[in-house]
Amino acid sequence: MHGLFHANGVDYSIIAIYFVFVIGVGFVLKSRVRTGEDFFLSGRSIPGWITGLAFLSANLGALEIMGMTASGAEYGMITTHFYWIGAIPAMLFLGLYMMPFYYVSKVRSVPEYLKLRFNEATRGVNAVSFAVMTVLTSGISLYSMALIFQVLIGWSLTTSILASAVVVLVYVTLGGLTSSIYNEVIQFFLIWAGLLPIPLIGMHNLGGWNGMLSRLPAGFGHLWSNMGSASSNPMGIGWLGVVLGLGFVLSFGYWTTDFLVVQRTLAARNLRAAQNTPIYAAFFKMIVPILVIIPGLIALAVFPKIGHTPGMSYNLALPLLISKYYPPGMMGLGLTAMLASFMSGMAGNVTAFTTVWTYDIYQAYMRKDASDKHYVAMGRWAVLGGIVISIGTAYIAAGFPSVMDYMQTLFSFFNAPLFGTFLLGMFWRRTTAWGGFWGLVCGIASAFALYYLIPAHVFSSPDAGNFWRAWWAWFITVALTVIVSLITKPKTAEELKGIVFGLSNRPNYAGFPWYKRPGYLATIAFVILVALNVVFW
Amino acid sequence: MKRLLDLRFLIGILFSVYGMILVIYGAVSHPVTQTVHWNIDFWWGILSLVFGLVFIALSRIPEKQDEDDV
Repeated sequence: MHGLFHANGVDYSIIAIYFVFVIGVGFVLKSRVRTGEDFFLSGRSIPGWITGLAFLSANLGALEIMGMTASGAEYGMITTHFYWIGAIPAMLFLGLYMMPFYYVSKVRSVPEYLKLRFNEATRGVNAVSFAVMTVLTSGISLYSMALIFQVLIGWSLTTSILASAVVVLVYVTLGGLTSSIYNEVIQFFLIWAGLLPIPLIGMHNLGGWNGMLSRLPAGFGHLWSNMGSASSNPMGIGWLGVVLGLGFVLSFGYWTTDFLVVQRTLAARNLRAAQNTPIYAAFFKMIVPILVIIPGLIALAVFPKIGHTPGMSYNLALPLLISKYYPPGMMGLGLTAMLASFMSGMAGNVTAFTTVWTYDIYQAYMRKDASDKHYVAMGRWAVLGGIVISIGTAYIAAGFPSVMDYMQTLFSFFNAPLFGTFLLGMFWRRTTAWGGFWGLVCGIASAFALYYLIPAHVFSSPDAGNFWRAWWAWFITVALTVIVSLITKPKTAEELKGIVFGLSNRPNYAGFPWYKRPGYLATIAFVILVALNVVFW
Repeated sequence: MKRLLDLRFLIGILFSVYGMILVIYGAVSHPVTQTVHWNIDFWWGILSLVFGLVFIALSRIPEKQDEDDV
């Protein structure tokens, strides 16, 4: 079989070195993993810059990199809303306001926080839905990565799926969360090394930013100026939908309650490091569009027929640029960057799944009082189980061409209501256990109902549908939680100590220099964010 | 053994190795593509090598333990 590329010996050695290296790191870290705390939480000992980069990279999987480049080619700079109005404010909010409750309460997972704040039933709903969604997501990213490698270098689907799954299996089983986190950070640097030359070469060849824009449809270089109404931009959604649906509900839901990312903050060595984790990540996240969205614009300028010619789908924007610009050697590095981003994304899913399975399902409902050693062993088996299921779902995904969009939609069903539950639970003391439970369950149910009852063509694009559905699911969750809370018995102040706003000590960093204080760092990030939105208005 | 657990050292090693491979390959075979006529392997390899060596050097500074929070 032949792919788009003709990789040669030097490319294969660069890829092989990466495989050997990550497995080697797994073996080195094995010596450090003794207790459950080590395996599932990295012993709460990781410095802030490392957890910050891992926080960011766990989300920066192959799906994200390929998808955002594709979206950049299709819609232009407005794709950047996913970063600048979407992710960043949510990350800063998590660091400043939510981390104190997560970290100080010593919970090991998001479902465990729900148990403390609400009740066992709420935890159960979240644990099971998270576990199912996570293995499905990791299967779909496994499949899409295999597809990329099939197109690029002609590996068969089975070869790619099995090779990548085995490597992830080995290093996560050995080193647990620390392995995952280390590989996520290594991946972050590899992505820059492997992909940064593309925007550099592209901009140089096209005559800079303005030279590139002159070859693109009008408005592709702007963020907000075409967002006045849904019909005035190719994404088919107006500013209000972006701000409420994407900026507020979907992004906050994902970045503040999804255990995949929150788990990285819990590995931090102290509260200040935990708070700074998403704030450091915000600085790095702001510059990721250079690697994904700008190459998308370049791809459209260089291949004007992309998206409208067989064999040149938007999803191939990045691979097409690699094959055009990179000689052997660099090509190996570019492929390794994509492989690394895929593997660390999958490892992130698997470690989060493992923790929730072991602590929130197995320990909570099957074996309450086993030894710590037993749970570590269970965690290692759960890695195997999670990966085997992922391989299975990868083949199921292979049978449904549109399953990726569908999954994205399903995923937002669970995060949008959960964010409503968290917001009330953390900041409104009166929220009761059953208020939280019924709000969450009805929010999820109403998201499903909205999806099945409203025909897709009502919305001008799938994104517009997602944004508005997320907003209404969140709204229903909040409304129901408030109503049920007002008629059920609240928890006492004693029970809520340390986990609810107003009943915990606010951390005080008065003695620290400004560059170590979460409040100052978040303010700087916010100012840069506003400036970016104005510059690219 | 302790240094092998230091992420800065691990990143440094990986990038130094990749940098060396690219520099040597670039210097020996002068690869070009249709659109890029300068030796991108060689120069990007130099940058990667420098980045790797900086990280190895950084890993010689002991990590500060911040014992400042609960």
